[in-house]
Amino acid sequence: MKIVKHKKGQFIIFATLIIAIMIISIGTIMYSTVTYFKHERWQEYLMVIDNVELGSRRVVELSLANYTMLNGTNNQTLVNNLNNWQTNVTKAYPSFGVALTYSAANGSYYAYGMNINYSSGLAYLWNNATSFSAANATFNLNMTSVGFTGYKFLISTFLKVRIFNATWSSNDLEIYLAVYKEGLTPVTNLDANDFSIKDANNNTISISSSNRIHHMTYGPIYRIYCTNVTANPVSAQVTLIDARNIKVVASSAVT
Amino acid sequence: MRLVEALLASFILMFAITFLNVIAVTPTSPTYEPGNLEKMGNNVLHDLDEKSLLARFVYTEDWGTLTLALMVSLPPEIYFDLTVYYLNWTVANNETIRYGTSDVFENSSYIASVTYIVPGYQTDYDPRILVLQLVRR
Repeated sequence: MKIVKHKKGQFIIFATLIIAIMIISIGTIMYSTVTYFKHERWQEYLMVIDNVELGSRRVVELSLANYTMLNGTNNQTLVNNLNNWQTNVTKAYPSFGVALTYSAANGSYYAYGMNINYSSGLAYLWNNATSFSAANATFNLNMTSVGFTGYKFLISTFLKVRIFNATWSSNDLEIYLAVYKEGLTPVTNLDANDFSIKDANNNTISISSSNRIHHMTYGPIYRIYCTNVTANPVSAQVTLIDARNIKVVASSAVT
Repeated sequence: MRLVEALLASFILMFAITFLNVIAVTPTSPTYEPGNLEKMGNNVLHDLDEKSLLARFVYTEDWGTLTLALMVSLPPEIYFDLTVYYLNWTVANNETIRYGTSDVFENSSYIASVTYIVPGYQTDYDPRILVLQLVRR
């Protein structure tokens, strides 16, 4: 019996070999790409940087909250907390060799449309129609385990109250004010419990209602309404404590 | 007859696919799994912290709500066990913050671990260190 040779059979093997080489090549490239990123642990470094940055923000916020709740009596709060934070952050990430340094703002800075006079990173200006509380610190993060150095970030925390108008008539007191945080972003999640009001004699005036309205020029502002205010309060002292527990006291004459 | 060529071609393809399967890193492989879980766990803690929920749950010792928050934030096939420590590494949570039985963690080959630090709450600087362990069902 004679064996018949088919020339097209070799082409099948040749085509299959090419396909096999392609499969193996793509697989090898995928493997090397995945293992490269695994070995470098990029994601872990980014996670640590993010966590340290957010933690530092929280330290600055709670320090300003502490400072304002104590009516500005301890301006070393931020510096003390940041010194502790420098030490504690290394405990949380021991294998990364995290080294955090900071510089608290000192002196006069022009920001958010006003001069802010910082002392050990903290500042407040109260009892004006436009009043604020502020904190500012610059951080430098190094990760010695991977030779990552010089990552700088600035954390500025700010809360401002601006009273536009306070009027008394027919035993009703009406106050219009705006609240801004860092970046002069309007704060819109406040309710009547976040505000308290006192008159010129330091007597508390109870708030009947507060609602947010939209002003053509100033955007979202608050209208605070108090009923049964039998005498003209002469001045209205508005205390605001926001969700971060940062306090601002603003004051305005009542017309 | 092209039978021999067809058989040879099949063997070559089978070899290529088998080789690829050996070196490929699939989402359930031990090479991929812990890193992916760590990222997921860290993202969940970071998101809760950004929303100012994490500090509230930890410092008010609302462990039940914290467990629920983690359960709804993580995919249902992920088991977790969270331990909250003081700075001296003594345990702060008097209740277990866990989804899944303890033997899941004891018998699992791959456990991802995430460390997270919360500096304080409201006006007080008093850090807690959170260690979150994750296992895929």
